Amino acid sequence: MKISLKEAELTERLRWYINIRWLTAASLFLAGNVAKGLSIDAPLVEITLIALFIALYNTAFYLYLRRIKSRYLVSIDLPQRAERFVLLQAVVDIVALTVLIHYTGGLENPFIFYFIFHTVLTGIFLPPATAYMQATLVSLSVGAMVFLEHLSIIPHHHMEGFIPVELYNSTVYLFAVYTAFTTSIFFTTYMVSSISERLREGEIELAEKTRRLKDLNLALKEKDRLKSEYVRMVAHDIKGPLSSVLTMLDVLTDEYSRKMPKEAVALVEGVRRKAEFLHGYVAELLDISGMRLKKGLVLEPVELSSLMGDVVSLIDGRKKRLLVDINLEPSTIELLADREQLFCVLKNLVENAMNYTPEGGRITIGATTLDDCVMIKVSDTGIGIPPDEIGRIFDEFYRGSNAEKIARGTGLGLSLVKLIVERHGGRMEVESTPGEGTTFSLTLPLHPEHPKE
Amino acid sequence: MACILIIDDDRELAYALKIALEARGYSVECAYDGEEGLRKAETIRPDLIILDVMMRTKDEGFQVSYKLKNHPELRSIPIIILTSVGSVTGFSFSTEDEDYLLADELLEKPVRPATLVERIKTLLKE
Repeated sequence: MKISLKEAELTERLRWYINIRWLTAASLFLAGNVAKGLSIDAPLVEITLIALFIALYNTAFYLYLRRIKSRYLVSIDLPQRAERFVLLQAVVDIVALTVLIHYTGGLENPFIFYFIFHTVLTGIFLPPATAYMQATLVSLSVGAMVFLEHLSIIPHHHMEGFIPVELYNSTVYLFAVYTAFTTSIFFTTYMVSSISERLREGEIELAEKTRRLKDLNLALKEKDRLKSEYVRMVAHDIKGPLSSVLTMLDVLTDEYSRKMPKEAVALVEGVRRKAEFLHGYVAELLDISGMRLKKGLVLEPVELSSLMGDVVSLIDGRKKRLLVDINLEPSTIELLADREQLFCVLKNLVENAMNYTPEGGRITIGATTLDDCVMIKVSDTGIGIPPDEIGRIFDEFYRGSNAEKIARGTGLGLSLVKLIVERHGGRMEVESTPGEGTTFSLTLPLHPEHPKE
Repeated sequence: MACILIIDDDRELAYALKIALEARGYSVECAYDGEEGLRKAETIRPDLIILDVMMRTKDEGFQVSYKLKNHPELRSIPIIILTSVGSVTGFSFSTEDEDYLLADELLEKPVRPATLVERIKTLLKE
């Protein structure tokens, strides 16, 4: 089971903290020896002992980190454990540093600034309250050291060359330095803590927003599905009575047209045409919404020339004297696809081409392979799509402004075509010049891996 | 003169078909639900039955057809079933699927009177 990104980060930071300490111990040891070499009066023994001590407890920390990494990898309370670990390290460090400072001049030693590191670290990693606790500990620890030294309860180790003894004996000076020190520790804690808090809040907000976005997305998908269901149900309910109407009109015409005035006959014929259109429209609605509701793809090898042949044979271009060309390069192209849905795509595109091309026009259906894709094009010499409408042509129910004059339609075909192509992991494009013609190109992978919903 | 029984809950359609068939010399009776249909079939013993597949409930047409074909005296009456493609029943039926549907002919709605008469003639061997 994978650790969350945050948890991985946590253990990284802990490791980094421990590594820094190795460096510290080593530098301390080095510094002590360098100082001795430069004849600075430094208590080498004590420094070495402290360096060793730091290395020792760092080893313990290192081992502990390894233990929590392996055992608590999946644990929910890894963050809490990490926090407590950081606190523990900081506290031990503070004690060690205080002792070190005590042996190297106490308040004289400018390296007393190094307490800032722990302040910043705890400010970042720990909750504000704990960070302030740390600041208090530092102040008390250093304060105790200064106080005890000042009262000579513990010896003060004066470091030659840092500050003159007289200055050190001045209470005002000590007090000023100590105050500056303590206040900067607390202010730093405050600043780092507040910034950290803000960052944490931002993170939580982001996670919340992402979660809500996911929920909204799901809800949207569900609404789309409900819409298709609704359309299908309504279409079905309309189709029934409409079928009866058509039959009744047939009977009316068959049996009574001789007895009706010719105007009545013409009216009945008009009614029948309207009813037929409605019936066709509703049947298409039913078909398409049924297709939309289909969840996935049933993939099988589909040979394009035979599929195209099937499509063209269904449609009669003779009425409009349309020329239909099929060009495949190479002459057999096979791809993995859902045959029924791909058939629907081609049928829709070819039907559109036929409907929107005036008499004597030409329709070309072509396919070529390129790398691991196949590109299928359906071109016509039809009325075309106005350039400012091309972007919307795939919208549901959208029909071109020039479309109604030449043919009737639901406006659903292209939105379904696009949906199916995208389900296969493909892409749809369209090019058109009004008055000259239109070309629809679809690119499909030859071997789609997973159907995309 | 052959007698035809139409079982369909769509009264207007039944009436229109009745007119069309009577104009061609058949005598026609109508029933508007499965129960009435079975009763009339028993009493008048029609030469042919036209049955709508979906009446008040999805199953009604099937049930009537099943009962008719399993009725000792009525089983020999040819049945034409009127279906609507894409109907929510989701059954796949054809005259070969003997388990699902016992019918002699299937006609898709909207029914063209001329087509209907043609099928009737074939089934009645006229």
